[in-house]
Amino acid sequence: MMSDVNEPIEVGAIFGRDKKLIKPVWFIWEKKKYFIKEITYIWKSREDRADLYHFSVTDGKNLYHISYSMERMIWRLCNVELEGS
Amino acid sequence: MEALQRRAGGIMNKERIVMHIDMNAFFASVEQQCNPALRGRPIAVIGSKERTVITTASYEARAFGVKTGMTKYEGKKLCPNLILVRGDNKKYTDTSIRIIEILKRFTPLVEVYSVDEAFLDVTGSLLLFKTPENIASSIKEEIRNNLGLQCSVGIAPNKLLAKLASDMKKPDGMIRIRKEEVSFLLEKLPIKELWGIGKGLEVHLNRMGIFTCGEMGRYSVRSLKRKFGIIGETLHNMGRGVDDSPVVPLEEEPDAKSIGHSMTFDEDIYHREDIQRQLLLLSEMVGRRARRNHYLGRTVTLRIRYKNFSTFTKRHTIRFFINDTFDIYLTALDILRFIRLEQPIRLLGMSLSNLTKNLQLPLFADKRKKEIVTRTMDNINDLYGDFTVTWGSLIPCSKGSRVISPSWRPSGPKRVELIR
Repeated sequence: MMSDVNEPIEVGAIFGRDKKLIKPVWFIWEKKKYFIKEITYIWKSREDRADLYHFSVTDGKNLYHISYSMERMIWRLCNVELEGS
Repeated sequence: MEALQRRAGGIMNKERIVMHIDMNAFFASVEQQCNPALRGRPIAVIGSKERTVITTASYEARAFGVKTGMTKYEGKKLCPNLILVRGDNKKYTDTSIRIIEILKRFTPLVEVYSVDEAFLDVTGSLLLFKTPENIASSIKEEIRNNLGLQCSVGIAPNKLLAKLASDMKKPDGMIRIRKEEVSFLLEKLPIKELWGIGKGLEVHLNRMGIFTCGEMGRYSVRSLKRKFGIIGETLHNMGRGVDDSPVVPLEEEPDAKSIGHSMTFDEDIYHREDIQRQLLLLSEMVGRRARRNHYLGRTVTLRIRYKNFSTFTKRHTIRFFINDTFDIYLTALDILRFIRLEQPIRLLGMSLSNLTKNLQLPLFADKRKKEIVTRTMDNINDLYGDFTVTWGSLIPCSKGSRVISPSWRPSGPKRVELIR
């Protein structure tokens, strides 16, 4: 089961020309840097009339759900599923 | 609707080509796509509440007999290795919107039947894509490449048969039923296999000696009409595989007939004040959706499910059209007053029907003030999220719907705004 985290994180990401292509590459959580090996799923929702992009990503070991608020320009780690949990 | 009827009539002369797209184990497949560790394993998608039921099981779990609607305990009993995954409606509705975008590349006539099913009329697209099979293969490929998901496609001369065809091979199927094969296929097909023949109807038909579609198609229309009224003729046609209903794209969908919500509680409720609080919450959800889509209604219906799953509905029609939360709540209280509760309540549902879109400006100052307050609350909630400003008595409540309604649409009046 995924565990809720819901904390702001620092993310290194590539933004496409039309701002619709966003590719997170790494993120820092609790002072540790995680390199994203695979984006397994992307979806979008609305938050206060602004687009919120969700990414399900893996570092090859654990699964993380991170999100990016287009309006606030804030990345969050929403939840995490640690290997074997 | 006239345009649709003309279109349906006009194409009667040549064979219509209708497709039914059914996403296989939709929610579970999305979760397996999200989490590679779940692929190939028995999983069940559940709600976030303690007393939740299984909304979708993966094919690996279905092999153990795990089905939609079972409690998680029942699922675990059948399949001890079953992995339970908490569902995320936003993920599924967004995926559905992306699937519909893919489908619209092949025809503008896409009818969104539910979050994981759609009908397509591709009769006019054959000049571009040559054969229905080409279209179906391309759709499957696009969905697989873009989303990693599988679907079953049924191809037939109408919606009834297209739905039947997509059900014939799952997962990842593609079946075409041609006009000349219909009578042979339906002759011995049990009536329950047909879309629209539920358990109750099947029992009635069986009592009349009708067990197969062939028998239903040969049965006298007059007798069927006498027994079932207006749908008698439809049943006769269904037995022969005839269905002239058009594929209705979203922008041509008829107006909603009712607006409703329901909630299953974490724990059964019994005390009047708890029930009243939940009724106020439902009134706000129903009222807000009605106001957002500019509807007013005269009939409020309450649906109550007891602890033992016995369910009943009571309705009350008033003289005026309403969509204000408190007006809906007061009407619901009028219904509740005449109900003698026999058991604790497991589920409460509410709907507003007898709808109109003819909004009339309030004549009196107090009504106008009330409307301004409601509109202001709605505007704030639109901007900052549902229930940002709400009734004081709702503060202890868990708010919002967690279920994707069957009437979900990607946009427009039938879209259910997911609250969380």
